[in-house]
Amino acid sequence: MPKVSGVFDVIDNLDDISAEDISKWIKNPPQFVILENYIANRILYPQAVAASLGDLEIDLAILREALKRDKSYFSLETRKIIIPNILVSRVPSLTKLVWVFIDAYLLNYQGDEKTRPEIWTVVMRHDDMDETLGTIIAPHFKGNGAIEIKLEDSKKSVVVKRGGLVVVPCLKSRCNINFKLSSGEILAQREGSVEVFGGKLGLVIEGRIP
Amino acid sequence: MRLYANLRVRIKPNVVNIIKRSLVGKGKILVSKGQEVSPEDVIGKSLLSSGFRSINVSALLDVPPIKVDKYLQKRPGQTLYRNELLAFKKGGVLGGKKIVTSPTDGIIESYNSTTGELRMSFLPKSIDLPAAVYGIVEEVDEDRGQVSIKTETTQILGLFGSGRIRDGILKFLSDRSGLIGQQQITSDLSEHIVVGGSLVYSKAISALLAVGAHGIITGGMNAKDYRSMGGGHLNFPRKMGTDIGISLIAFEGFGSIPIGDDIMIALQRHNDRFVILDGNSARLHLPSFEKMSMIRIKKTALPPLDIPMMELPQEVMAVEISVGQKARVTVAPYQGQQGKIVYIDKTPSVLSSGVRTYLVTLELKSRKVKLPFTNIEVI
Repeated sequence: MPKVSGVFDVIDNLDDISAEDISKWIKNPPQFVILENYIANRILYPQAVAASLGDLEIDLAILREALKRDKSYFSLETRKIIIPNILVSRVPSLTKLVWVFIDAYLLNYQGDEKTRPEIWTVVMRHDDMDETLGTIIAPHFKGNGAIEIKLEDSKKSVVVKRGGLVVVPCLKSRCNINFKLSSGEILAQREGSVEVFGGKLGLVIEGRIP
Repeated sequence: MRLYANLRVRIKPNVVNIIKRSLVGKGKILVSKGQEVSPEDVIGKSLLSSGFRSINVSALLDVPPIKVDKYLQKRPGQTLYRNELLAFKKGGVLGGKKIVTSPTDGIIESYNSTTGELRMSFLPKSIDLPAAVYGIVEEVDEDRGQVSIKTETTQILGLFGSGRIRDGILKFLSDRSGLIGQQQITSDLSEHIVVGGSLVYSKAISALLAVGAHGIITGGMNAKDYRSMGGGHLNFPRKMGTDIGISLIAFEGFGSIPIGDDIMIALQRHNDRFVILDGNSARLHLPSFEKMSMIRIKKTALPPLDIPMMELPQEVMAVEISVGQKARVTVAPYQGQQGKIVYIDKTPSVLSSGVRTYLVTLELKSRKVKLPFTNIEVI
């Protein structure tokens, strides 16, 4: 039987990642020699899981840097972020995992800032199908703006300031939201409604992207 | 719930395979195809010049280079022994007598009348090539000075390595968890394959290279040092061989990790014996020193295949985990430690990282530990 594979088998560029790169994502990074050995051992044993929070932090930092170098899980044309299903089972929180993808693909968006899409669909890729998990909404803020989001069938609204990140649960396949920005726009509007995909993830209101 | 882990073969006992023995320098092969050999049999003889030396005779005689020729007592092509007269200049009334003797045994190769340098090559040494193994000669290559011998070895498979096939006498410099100290690296280690401990630093590798050691066996090494040996890359399996002048094999991973008990026992049995290290394939061959192995060698026919390094089977496959299996830990803090699986959880647990997974209980030497089943491999 072929050998057991793991999280880091979906990434084939681990060799290109340096300790310096991943240390930027870690709160109290260990010495570079320890990080280098950690990465190398992950290449040897890609099926290993993080047993401690410290190890998880390093694994997610490695994942961020690996994804930055591999655009195959990101589609600008279809505005999708694609998450391999094996990652979902190895990272404890779907929100944490999506955060990693946002950091890798959207935080340092390489394209024209003016034409950057504000709405992205997040899907999980299984062997034979894609499962929609939710939507990332990343408004174009102007100055220190804030966005107020309200689900159509909810009484409560959520306010996300520039620089913040909030997850709004919405398990339905389609979610209608009303939005209002103090300074900025979505789809060239400061205020309006839009229908987006919902799911296990819900709606990620991302205020950190420039 | 069936759980699977990788099974990694670390030791393959009694494997009949082909090893190559090579003459050092030009010489003659003394055996022929089909001949049976024992470790002490001399299968070839060669002559090897161990280098050359330049002597500035002009400066020593205190004469211009072009005038040295008339003072030389020996000519190019002639043999000269240590302290024998090489050049002599009679002095005058006020002195100026100069005597130049040979610093070593050698043959005068040439004299350069422009620079005043005389070049001497050391006298060639006669070197016997022993078989070093029990076996049967499969092939003789006179042009390359190589003999292929079918023999029986215990193969020890490492995780990674570097360097071409080299052989030598196995020598322990450390116990399984120690480090190689600078003071241990002496010229006695020339042509030896040394066993380090849990970690070998780049300085130790350079020092061993300088004294002429042939190979290093270690539990672990730092990734940065391995990258510099391996052309800057960490690819497993390797796509291309590398060689920095010494061969290396690591058995446990990156970082400081003691050599596993299973491999240590096999190595200790072979201390001060002839071994063959193939760094690029991460394989160590321990030839069998039982005369009885000749029976198995004769019975085994090997296919006429010459499998390139990159195509060797990887010896890792998935197996169902079960109680009683021997396993080793693949991640810190117990990386490299070995034990027996004594229990497999029926329900998943949530680790402190938040990851939800099944745990197995491994009985190590000093304690029992519960680990995610993905963080062990069966051995």
